[in-house]
Amino acid sequence: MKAVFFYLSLTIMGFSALVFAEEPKVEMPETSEMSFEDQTIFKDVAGMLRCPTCTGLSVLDSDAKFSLQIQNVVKEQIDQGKSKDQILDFFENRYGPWILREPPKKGFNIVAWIFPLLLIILGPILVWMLVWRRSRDTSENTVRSAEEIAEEFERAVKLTLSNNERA
Amino acid sequence: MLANYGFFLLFLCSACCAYGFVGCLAAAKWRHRRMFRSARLAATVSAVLAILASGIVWYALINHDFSLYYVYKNSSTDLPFMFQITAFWSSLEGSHMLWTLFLNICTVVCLWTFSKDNEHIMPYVGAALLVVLSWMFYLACTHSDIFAVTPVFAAEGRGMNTLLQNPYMAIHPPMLFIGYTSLAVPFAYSIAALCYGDVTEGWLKSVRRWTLLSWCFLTAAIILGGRWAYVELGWAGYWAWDPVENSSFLPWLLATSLLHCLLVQGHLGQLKRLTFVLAILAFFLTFFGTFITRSGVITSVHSFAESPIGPSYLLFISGLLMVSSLIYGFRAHLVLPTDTGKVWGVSKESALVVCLLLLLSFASIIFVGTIFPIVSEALTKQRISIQAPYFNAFAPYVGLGLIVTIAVGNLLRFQANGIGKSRKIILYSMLISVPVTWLFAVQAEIFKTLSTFALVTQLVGVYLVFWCASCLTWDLIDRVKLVKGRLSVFFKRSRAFFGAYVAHMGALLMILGFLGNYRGLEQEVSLTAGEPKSVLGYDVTFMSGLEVSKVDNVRLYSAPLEISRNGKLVSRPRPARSQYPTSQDLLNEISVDGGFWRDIYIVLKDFDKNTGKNIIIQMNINPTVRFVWIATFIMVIGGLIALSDSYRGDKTRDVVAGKWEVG
Repeated sequence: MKAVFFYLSLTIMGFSALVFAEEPKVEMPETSEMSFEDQTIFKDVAGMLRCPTCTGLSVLDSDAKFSLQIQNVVKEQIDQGKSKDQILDFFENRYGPWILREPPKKGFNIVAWIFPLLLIILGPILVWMLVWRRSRDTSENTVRSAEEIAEEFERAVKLTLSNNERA
Repeated sequence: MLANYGFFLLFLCSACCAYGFVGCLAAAKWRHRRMFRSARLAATVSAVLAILASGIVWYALINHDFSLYYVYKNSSTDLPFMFQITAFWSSLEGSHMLWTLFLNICTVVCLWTFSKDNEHIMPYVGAALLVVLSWMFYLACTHSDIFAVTPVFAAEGRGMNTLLQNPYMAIHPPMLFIGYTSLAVPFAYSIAALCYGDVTEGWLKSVRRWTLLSWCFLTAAIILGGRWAYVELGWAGYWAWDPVENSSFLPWLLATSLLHCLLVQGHLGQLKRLTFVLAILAFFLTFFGTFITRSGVITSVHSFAESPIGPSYLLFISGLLMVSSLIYGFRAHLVLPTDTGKVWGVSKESALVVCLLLLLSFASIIFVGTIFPIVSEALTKQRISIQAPYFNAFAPYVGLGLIVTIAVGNLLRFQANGIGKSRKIILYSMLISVPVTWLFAVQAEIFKTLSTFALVTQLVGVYLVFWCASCLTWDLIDRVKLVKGRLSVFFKRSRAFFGAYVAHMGALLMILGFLGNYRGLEQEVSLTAGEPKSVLGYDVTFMSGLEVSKVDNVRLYSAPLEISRNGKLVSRPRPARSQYPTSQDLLNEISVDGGFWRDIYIVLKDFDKNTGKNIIIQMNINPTVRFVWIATFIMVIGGLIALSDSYRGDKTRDVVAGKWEVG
């Protein structure tokens, strides 16, 4: 099993090395006046802001009037030479964290970010505790002995009977 | 007049179901067979009445009876016939009614088609289903009355929401509701098994069938919804992690986990209690989804306007959760233990548990992401948004984890200890998938992805998908060899396995579609008639000028384009804007064309109203979107193959258990 994972990770590593060797080609739309760097920043920023009047969509994807206004503000700020974080901060100060499409990683909202990580760490531990650790002894044929099953059934039946009596 | 008959029918339905619920409880208490049969008859009568009531709604819709407020609100005389039919579920009251109707039909089918060795728990099953149904009918009579009357005379209706006048929206809601309502049966069986104290072979068989049925419908319905967004909304995507999309995806995840959990239970008898919990949760989440849609708690593009039904739903889902937890808490420890020992270790059952862990973690991340804004606002008084970037931060890892689990899990065997000969399959598959990945990456133009991180994720993902597909296929061939290549024997005995193989391959193809679509190129250009322009590597020509036509109730302004690449004609799309009689706004009629590898997605943004010679279009190049649609077909077909498995449905294996005390 270990060997398998070793080979697996080796292949993936080798493969990603292959990938990095290939220079990603860049395809750029021609009509826009913005430089390529500015356009990337614009797409990043507009993709991180929510369209205030629609749901689920970013400012980048939406055609709502409000979104178009925000797009213009973002473009202006890029022209002024502001960085991505500065522009996002500007919008957060103006509209509150609500305008960002993912919650800021501070205050109470950090719970939303920690929870999935906790799942990844605690999940396997929980499964191990609930399932693997409680595995019972089995015979060679992986079937429990008849006496053991009989005993357990008897216990269960007694429990049910006593419950019924109480009820 | 019709309104009165309809309302009366619904009132009778709720009375029948209430009687059926009490009857089932009595039948369970005194083990009274005739009582159960009487309750079942009440449920059947209720279904017939509900069908009649729906017939009245359709009659009113087709005959434009605007004295019904619902008809007035959602239809008009110029609506094409198909949309007159589908106007039934185009708004709150109608979709509640449709849901209730389907739930009633599922209940009746479930109560008449149980297997012999389930007879002793059927009163409990009936009670669980009928209590839900009574509540739904009560709501249909009170808070969500489809037969409400228009206060003043109206000669023309307000018309149907123009976004919903689309064939995909015509079939998406009914399929989703069938998927939701058939999840009620596993829930009811779980409650019944908890009340009774154990499960039988027949229990497994029935629960598996209903879950699979629901899974097929949910899979199709969710992707049809995505397809609708893709061709109707114009932002070139099909999934936005919108709260309502999430709440349809959550039951799907739970249904999928339930299927895999049933597999462990079927082979080893283990994980009984987990099965109950999953079935209850799956059902709970279908209602959670409705609660979100109906109440306006989370505003969403799908939310119908806020309605008084919200608090009732909250009451219902909290009651449902509380009663289910009580039953579970008091009865779970009494469920009889299984007769096979746990082996776990490196075996299929362990892989299935890992798969459950991944699916359920995914479900809880989505659940938390969906409700967190409400919780946060309540606690900190500050509004926040959780949208696509949050979910996209986690989804790829879960997806990659699932691919590895699918591959390894399928190669492992139940109660095995170690990977055995499969090591060879895993290693050779690793080699085979390298050239295939390369080929795919070139064809789908993956190297044009701009960010390095996305590129690496894509390539690793594609590689793993092909590796997994190779492992699965190899394993399939090995299994066919095991029966000496006699396919008739294989398909007779292993149809469920073959169905799973097809469904998994479908899922892999779908993931491939997601991975290929990482990079979307978008550009907005203005075109003048007759002048070709180069857009995103294609030559686009706006042919002669804008054309105006009338189809059904719609006036279409379409722009005939010609797209060629390196001098070769690729497609002749006709993006358009449409005007519906009931609305002033122009709607997008998007043109999606291209080929197998990529969609050329064109939205007509604006046009010169005077001359019709100048237009502005938005053009997107979306790679591998078509894979997702094809994959849906494959997945559903896989589900249906597994559903047709007659081996497990063998009636000779039924054991008559539990006696009625009163005949």
